[in-house]
Amino acid sequence: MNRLPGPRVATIPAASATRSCAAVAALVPATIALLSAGAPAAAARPRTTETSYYYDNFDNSLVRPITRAFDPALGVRKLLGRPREAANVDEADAVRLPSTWWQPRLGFREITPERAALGPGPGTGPAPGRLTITRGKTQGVTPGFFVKDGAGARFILKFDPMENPEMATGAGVVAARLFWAAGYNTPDDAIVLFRAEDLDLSPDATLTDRFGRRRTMTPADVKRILDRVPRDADGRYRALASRLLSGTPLGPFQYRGRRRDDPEDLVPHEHRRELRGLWTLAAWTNHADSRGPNSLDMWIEAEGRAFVRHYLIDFNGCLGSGSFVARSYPTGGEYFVDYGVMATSLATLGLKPFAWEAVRDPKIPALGFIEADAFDPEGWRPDYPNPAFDERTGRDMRWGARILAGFTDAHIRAAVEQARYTDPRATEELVRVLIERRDKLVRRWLPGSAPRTSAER
Amino acid sequence: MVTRRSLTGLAALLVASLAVAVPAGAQVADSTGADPLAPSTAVPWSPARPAPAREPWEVALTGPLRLATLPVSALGFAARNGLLRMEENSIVPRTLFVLAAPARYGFLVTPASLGDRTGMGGEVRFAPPAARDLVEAGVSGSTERYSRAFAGVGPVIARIVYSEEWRPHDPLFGIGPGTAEEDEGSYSSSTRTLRLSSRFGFGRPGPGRPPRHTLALSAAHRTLTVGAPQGDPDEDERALRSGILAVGPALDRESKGTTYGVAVETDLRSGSPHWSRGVRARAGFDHFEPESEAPQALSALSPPPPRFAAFQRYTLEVEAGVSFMRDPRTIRLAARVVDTERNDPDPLATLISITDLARLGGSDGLAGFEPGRFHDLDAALAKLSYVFPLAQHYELDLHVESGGVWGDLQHDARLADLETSYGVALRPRTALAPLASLGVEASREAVRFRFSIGGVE
Repeated sequence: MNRLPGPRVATIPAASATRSCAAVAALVPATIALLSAGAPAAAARPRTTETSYYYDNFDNSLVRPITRAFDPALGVRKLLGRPREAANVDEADAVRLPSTWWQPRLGFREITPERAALGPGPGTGPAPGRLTITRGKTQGVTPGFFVKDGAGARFILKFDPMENPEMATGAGVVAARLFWAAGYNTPDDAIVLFRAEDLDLSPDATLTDRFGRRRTMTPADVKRILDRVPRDADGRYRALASRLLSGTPLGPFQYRGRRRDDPEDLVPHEHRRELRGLWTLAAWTNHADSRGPNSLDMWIEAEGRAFVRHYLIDFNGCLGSGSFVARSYPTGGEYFVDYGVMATSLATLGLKPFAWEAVRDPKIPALGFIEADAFDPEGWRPDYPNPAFDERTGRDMRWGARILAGFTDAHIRAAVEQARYTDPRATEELVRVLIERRDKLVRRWLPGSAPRTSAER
Repeated sequence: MVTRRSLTGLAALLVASLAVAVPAGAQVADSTGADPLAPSTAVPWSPARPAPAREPWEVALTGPLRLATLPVSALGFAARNGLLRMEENSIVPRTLFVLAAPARYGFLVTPASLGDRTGMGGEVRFAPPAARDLVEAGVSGSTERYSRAFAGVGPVIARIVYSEEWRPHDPLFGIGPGTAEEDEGSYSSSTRTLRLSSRFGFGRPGPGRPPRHTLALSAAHRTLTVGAPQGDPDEDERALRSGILAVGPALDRESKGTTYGVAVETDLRSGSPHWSRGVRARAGFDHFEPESEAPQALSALSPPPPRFAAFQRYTLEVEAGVSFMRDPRTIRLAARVVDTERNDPDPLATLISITDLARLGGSDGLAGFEPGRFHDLDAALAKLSYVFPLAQHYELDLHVESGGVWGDLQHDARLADLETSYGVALRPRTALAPLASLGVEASREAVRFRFSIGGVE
């Protein structure tokens, strides 16, 4: 039989070939072991954390301030003027990267206003067409739905209070864009307009009622939720559509302590630059709701590894919005329980005016209430004390101010325009207020640095 | 057969393993791929060991305090988990639902308002949903065995109400301004009343307020029995000082009579969260006509017993307030005068029941004194208050009261008889109204704590 010519193959004597193969094969695991020494072992998913809204409020409003007031170590630091600086910065006072909390964006690199306005992207909300309700959301301060669009993408829809159309949804979209541009991980939020007839109800849709019981959702439930939602002049409903984050939710993170079953979480959160410096951004956007329950850790599996990524979420209570009511005038000037303010008022028998008593309210329902005249770039505070904010130092605030200085007027306007306010006064007033608040913070914490206008980009 | 190709493959595997292994702690290139703005998926920077929340010297300094407060920490741990379970199981909405359930059927359960020092109590009212403004009944009781029951029919302009009340031991320190604190006694009273009343309102009411002007007419037939006070051997002497014998022979005697009353009230107060400006004035006139008692057989050995007298009572109440500053700081002045005139031509008609006397002490005025501290026919009281905000959710009420009781206000009143009481109360509030009051009242005799939930103006 004729043999077809085959490829020319070099051969090696069997015995020596065997020894060579064995040597190479043995080298592979040894090499890996040698070079992988110290690398994190394959991480197990941390357990899901839960938090009590009531306890978080109680602990941070009443207990922790008293504890801090009687903390001798804190007293010594104040006496000596030696606060504890952030633990994850280098010699140049820069955040040590990489970080699963924050990414250098504005203030550290150039980003066009158009790109910043997209946020994490795509920034367009659900695909045009019908939306299928998969779950009702009756808990929390605002009602809503979980929906799926025609492309299979999943969103949470949140609505405005009847008395302030566009307020909560507008604030949520604008603040999400601003915090993303500042470097934080945020969901992809966008405004969506729809009619009731655009909604389909999945036969598997469920609803958790106010008693915590889960049952099948009915069209009557949908109507009951939509009856509490304002409509525009064309009869459409407006919602904030928040794209569900990829990964597995692990619950909120706390602004104090760390997640001990996360091998990559080795710095107490109250000593992280990203969270301390967040105060500056929170003050700028009047994010008085900066607290643990408005955060979310996600278990991400990507590029061959699994890890926890930390998100800021729920921005409906930012700017002039208190989610279901407009922000009150004292917001930002005092905590819910503010011992310092009460002591001052008691000592002066109330005769010293509060700063908010001089504010002017432009009475724009879509904005709620936010202003810049009485804004205190040093003393701003959230609704109740935040452990990371309490530990902030001048360096932390200057770091945050550096980020702020990277926002030009054009960046601010581009973000505000994502709110799609129907009243042009709302857009103009919010842009003006954000610019003024930015300028105050930058002047206070980066003296000598002029805030950038659009002409200086 | 081992070939060179095989060996080449093994070598490639070795090279690939080098690419996979990641050295620990290295600042590797951010693996965000094409988008440098996307969140990092690289291993984040971490310290070699977990950073401590506190430095060693801080731990040493606060160690003893933390040890001493371990029980409190344990309480906090229990509170956090308890509140979490409460939220998970929707305890609060379930409880509110249960508490609101009776209201759907016309039942209302509230704390009892039986007066000072009557113990813990509750009241149940019933008004059928279909006739809520026409029919009402209620019963209240307390741990100190005070009780009251009533039933009423008819609209506000023509209402008939039957009520019974039992008060086992109301305090009595004697009659007149010069009574001593150590002479405390008590009396019991049982009252049955059938009242016909008409109430007319005029003027547009403010939010949550009654009509601005009201006229009230009433006629009430009353059967009253007052039981013996205890431990007060000199009551006859004190009663004679005021010209009447209110105790002693009046004890355990049933008093029947009819009270005719008319009252006009104007309420021009306004403001929130507490009423901060305006005037309220009320003038009332009551005429008590006792039923004729069966003549008693005269005895040569004992004088004829005194009878209950007809009397007229004039009551005048005025309160006014002015405020300044945006969050109102309010100065209020209130005054009340009660003038009782016995005008029965029968010289034996000298008795007036204890319960018909004017009184001061506790919630009747002069709150720093014990309830029922002062009794007599006439009384006068003035109160000066200053209410000012401590913070967004709290205000403080500073007040001083001065007043006294006399047998005849026009002829016997002297400044030296005036008693003074001082008080301070912390009032949690919303933007619309105060919610509660927690305070301290002080006088020359006592320091009393007071609290109330609701009904705070």
